[in-house]
Amino acid sequence: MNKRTAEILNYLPEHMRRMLCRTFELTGDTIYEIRIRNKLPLIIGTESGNFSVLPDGKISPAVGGAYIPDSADIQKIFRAVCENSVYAFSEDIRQGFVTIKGGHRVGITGRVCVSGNRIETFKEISSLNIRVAQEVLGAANLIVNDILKETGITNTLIVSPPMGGKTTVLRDLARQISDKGIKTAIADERGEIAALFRGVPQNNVGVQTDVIENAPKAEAALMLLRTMSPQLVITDEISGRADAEALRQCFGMGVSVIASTHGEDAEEVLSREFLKPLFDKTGFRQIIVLKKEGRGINSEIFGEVRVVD
Amino acid sequence: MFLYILACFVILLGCGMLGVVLSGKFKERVSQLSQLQNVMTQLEFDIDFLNITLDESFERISRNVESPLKNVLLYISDRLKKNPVADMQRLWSRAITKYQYDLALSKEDIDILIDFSKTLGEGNREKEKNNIKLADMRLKMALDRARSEADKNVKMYRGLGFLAGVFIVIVLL
Repeated sequence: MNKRTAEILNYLPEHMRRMLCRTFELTGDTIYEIRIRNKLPLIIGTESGNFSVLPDGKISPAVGGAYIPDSADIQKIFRAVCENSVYAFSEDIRQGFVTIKGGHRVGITGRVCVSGNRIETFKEISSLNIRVAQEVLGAANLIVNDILKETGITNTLIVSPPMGGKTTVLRDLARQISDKGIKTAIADERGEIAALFRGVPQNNVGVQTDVIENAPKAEAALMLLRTMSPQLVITDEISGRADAEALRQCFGMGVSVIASTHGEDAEEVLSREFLKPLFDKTGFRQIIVLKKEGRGINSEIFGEVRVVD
Repeated sequence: MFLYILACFVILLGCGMLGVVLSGKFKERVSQLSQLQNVMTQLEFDIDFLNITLDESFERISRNVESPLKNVLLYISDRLKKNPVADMQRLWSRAITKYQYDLALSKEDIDILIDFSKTLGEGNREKEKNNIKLADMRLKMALDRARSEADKNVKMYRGLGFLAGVFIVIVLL
């Protein structure tokens, strides 16, 4: 069990802490999520599949005999992840997750309380999903030289299907490029790249990196341009015209951009209408389609480079 | 004779001091209740404007209040930092028990704090503000009572202390 995973235990009631401490020792770094559902078996997701957790902390592929969390457990965990200050996390709760120390993300579901058309808070919480942060230092080792060249940074769009390692690669690219002294700015809409906790990035994103988190990425990217004069802007999951327009403004100001988007291959991405304006001479010069070998944090990520004409 | 006069003087002084000490408890209660009202105002500011968590807020507020309330807030802040799963009401209860000999609060005042801590940190901003307002209102009522008790009792205890001294001296004569 590494130090970051152990940080999750602080947010659990004493009996669950003892139980999952044993589980973590058994699963090591292969665990990637813990699903805590009201009156349903406690389940963990690992690289080898899903397992239920028994009251003694051992794991089993069958759900029989598993520990069954109740609403008191869930309430305690919810309060703990909100640092006993639910009001201070209302924006995060509206988005459905809270980031805790170590960069782990706790997803929340249940009956919501709506005010107008806006989710106000959760009236009853039915389940929590603790997603274990997977920071892989060196994940971008096989890609960084395609982007950071002697002539400078090549504007790059990183493409992969979901769970293909886009965010992991972006995070490591930020670290490697920033540590070389390049002023880097991250527009991190979902707080997955840097995972700020009380203003401190929980993931290593480099010494020259500034982050705006939980803001719409188009707005965040422009704010970063105005306030931090970055040489490089990094952002995840480009998905609409507003995002594309913000990146066009970055290109227009001579700032390099590394972004990512969902996709299977370069052709599919090139055919997307809203992305087309970004492939002109000042825009993205290459697309890197990620390929993964192996599973989990021990997998190797490499990329197929498609130069944009 | 000189020793006799000295002994009488010491008795009078001692009893007078005892009266002052006993009456001090009433004044101290007024002061602590007044500081608690100040804590509530600052807490509301932290929740409404600074949007900081309770452990940070208690740490911040502790710099602006005197002991023993300072120690109570620091204790709660420290425990919250170390153990986010800690039960808020139990934490307040423990902190008050730990510093009970320094606190001049009555059982009724402590009940206000324990009731206040019951739902503290569980709700959205509006609920927290309502909880603070309610506690503040109850503290104000307790403060009014404490002030009138202090007005009455401070003089009484001081007078009683001095009179007790006089009485002992007369008996010794």
